[in-house]
Amino acid sequence: MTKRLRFALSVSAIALLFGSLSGCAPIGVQVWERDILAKQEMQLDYQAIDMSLDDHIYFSKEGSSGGRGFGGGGCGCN
Amino acid sequence: MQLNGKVPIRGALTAITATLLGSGVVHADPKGKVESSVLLYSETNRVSAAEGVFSLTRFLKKDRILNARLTLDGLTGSSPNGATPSNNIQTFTRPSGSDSYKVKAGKTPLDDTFRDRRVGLDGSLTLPVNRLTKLILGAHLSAEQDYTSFGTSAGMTRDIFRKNTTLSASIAFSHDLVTPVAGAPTPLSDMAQPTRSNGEESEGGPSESKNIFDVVVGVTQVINRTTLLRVNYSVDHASGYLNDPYKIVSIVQGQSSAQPGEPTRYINESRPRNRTKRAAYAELRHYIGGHTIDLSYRYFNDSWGIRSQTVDFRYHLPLKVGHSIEPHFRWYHQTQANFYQSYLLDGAGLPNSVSADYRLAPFHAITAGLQYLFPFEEGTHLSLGVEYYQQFGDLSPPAAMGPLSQKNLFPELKAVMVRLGFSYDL
Amino acid sequence: MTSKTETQYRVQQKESYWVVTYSAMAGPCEILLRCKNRSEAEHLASLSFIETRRIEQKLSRYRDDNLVHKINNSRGKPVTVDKEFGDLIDYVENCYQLSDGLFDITSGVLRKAWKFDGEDVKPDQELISSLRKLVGWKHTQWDGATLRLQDGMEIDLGGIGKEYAVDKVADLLFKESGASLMVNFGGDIRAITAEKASLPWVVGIEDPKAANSAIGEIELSNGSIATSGDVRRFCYIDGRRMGHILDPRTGWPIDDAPRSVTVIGNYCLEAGFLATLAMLHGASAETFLTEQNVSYHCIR
Repeated sequence: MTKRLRFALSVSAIALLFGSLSGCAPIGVQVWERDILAKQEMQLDYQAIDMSLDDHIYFSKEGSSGGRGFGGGGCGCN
Repeated sequence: MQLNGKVPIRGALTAITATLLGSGVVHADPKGKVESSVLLYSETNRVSAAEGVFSLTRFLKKDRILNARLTLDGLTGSSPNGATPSNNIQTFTRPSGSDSYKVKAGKTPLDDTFRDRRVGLDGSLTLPVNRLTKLILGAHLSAEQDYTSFGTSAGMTRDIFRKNTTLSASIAFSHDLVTPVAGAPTPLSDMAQPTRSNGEESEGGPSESKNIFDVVVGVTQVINRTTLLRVNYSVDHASGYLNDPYKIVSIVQGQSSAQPGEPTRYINESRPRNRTKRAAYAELRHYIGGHTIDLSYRYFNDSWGIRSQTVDFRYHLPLKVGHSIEPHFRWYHQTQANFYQSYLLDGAGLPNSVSADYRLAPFHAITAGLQYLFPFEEGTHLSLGVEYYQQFGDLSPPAAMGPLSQKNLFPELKAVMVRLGFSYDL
Repeated sequence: MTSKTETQYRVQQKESYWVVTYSAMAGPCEILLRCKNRSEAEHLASLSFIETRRIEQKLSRYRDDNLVHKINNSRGKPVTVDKEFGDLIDYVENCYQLSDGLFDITSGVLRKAWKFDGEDVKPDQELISSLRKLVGWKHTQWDGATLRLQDGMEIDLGGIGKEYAVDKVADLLFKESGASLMVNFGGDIRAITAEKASLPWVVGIEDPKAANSAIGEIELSNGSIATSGDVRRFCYIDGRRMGHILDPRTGWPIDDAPRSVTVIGNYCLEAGFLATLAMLHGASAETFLTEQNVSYHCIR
């Protein structure tokens, strides 16, 4: 199950890249179509501080870290 | 090449003109941002923590961005020490090495002197190389009584395909020192005996260190006007002293002995001196009818045999002007580290690596929460969030021997988090 | 720069506002300000003059020390541009797409084949055809950071330079002072009004056929007016009067173009672009502008 999910994930990422490379897929937007993407809640760093606090809690309570950014460290909590 | 009959271009034209004029070079607005967040974390009968972050961002000339962040942490309460419950009262040496504490029969052994403070400083500087490429340099320093970490990072982002795709790569290096008051215990050695006789804390024992090297690569892709996808892959390699100096493992009597399952002694945990973690992360942001969905998935595995999956879902629901509410749900599942054992059997010989730390055990966890965001005045936002977190482990693993299979071997964790956030445009 | 430039603009007080005048962007520049006092007016005058000169120097194709010169003499090599210049290139590229190729900053070379001094001309089709090969934004390579033209191609930002300067100066002065103001660079205008309650600016629309005689007045609180077309620059081909705006697709002046088009829009750049694009639509200029749902005035 996990293996398959992981595979599907990488395939979709590669497909995306090629889609935009070839320029034929209707992927991406023109500059004047960025109104919604410009919204605060559509930013990837939206509430970054809160996220970092959460990540710090999970880093100290669980066996995993990383993904969104660096794998963590920097504290003696794990 | 006929424009007649085409959709009017005025809306698009106004949008691109506003974009051009908005990115003025003479006066960038705003000049910066202050953000802070305070988190209160409270586990039922266990650890309570308060964490505060204060972040200052300045937008400098030539589109440079300077960020400085101060983190303060305070932690107090009881934390599982890794030992198994017993039918008798158990006595453990305190981490200070100078005293001992007792745990009642049948209870999960908790070290009730868990107390720490942390001060962290982070700085980063974003330097545009050209209109498409950015360089981000960072450094951090974090100090606790028994732990110090310092490190640096460097990253780069590059926009391609009319800024519809952003590639990013970054590396980080951190050097951490583990300096418990009583010294970093030698793996597999017996738990130290208290040195209470003279009433003094034992003099600083040996300190240990570890090095952590991180690499993250990522792609962010605009799918369409309402959808954004980010995919990241990170590899993290740590080497050195990776033990938790306060975690021990019970060595219990075997089935055929007088008191099966009762501890004969405790040893300090022993984790491998190397660990490689890998994480693949995908995040989708989608805007639909004024609402925003943020869905992410992470697959993680490491060289210790832990595999985990995390699904995180946030829903941004705007209410009246500026106000919004955000339900949040997170599901987490991990398998155990291959050297995780709740206890060792007396006389069976010691493995090279062993840990009874619940964080290396198999478990799953859920988080459910709600956040409310409201504008305070122009450029100022407040948010208040409440979350509930619970871990579900295998309380009585079927493989546990005789009497221990009746006991609570996974220290169940329930916690409530309250978070107050504040942001202000300079 | 300051001591030298101080004498290059004038600040005068009218009834309820201050008037700043100077000469730049190949014409007269006038700024009306409802600010507090002379020292503020002087300060804003200095800011606007420096900004206007900065943009003029940056976008002029008559200088040999700017990016336009570097790009036009790059002989097919890529040139890395700065942020502001790149924003402008993004903008003109979007304009090119939105206009289906009618608005093209590489079409300036076509002027070498034409003279618009009101006389009869005999077009040199061979020259026009050879110049046409050097026209076409689609032949350039722009990755967002570097621009590469084919050898011999040129760019000309003159078509948006003045309008850009009007918008930039207006935004700059308003950010600095919060005062109601109107920027007018040779008829390209942008007005900003501080509060809803305050009086709008009144703009007289000049009759292009008879200088100094107004044909109407427009009240403008927040918005822009821009005009395309110059009634003094035209030629005759086989007895037909042709305006100076060239069609990048043919290399020829536009058939049946209005003599001038005035558009009222949000930004000066926007109004100017719509006015130019309307000219390029020739006989259907009015239809095009009606479709865009803007206020306009065409003179034929």
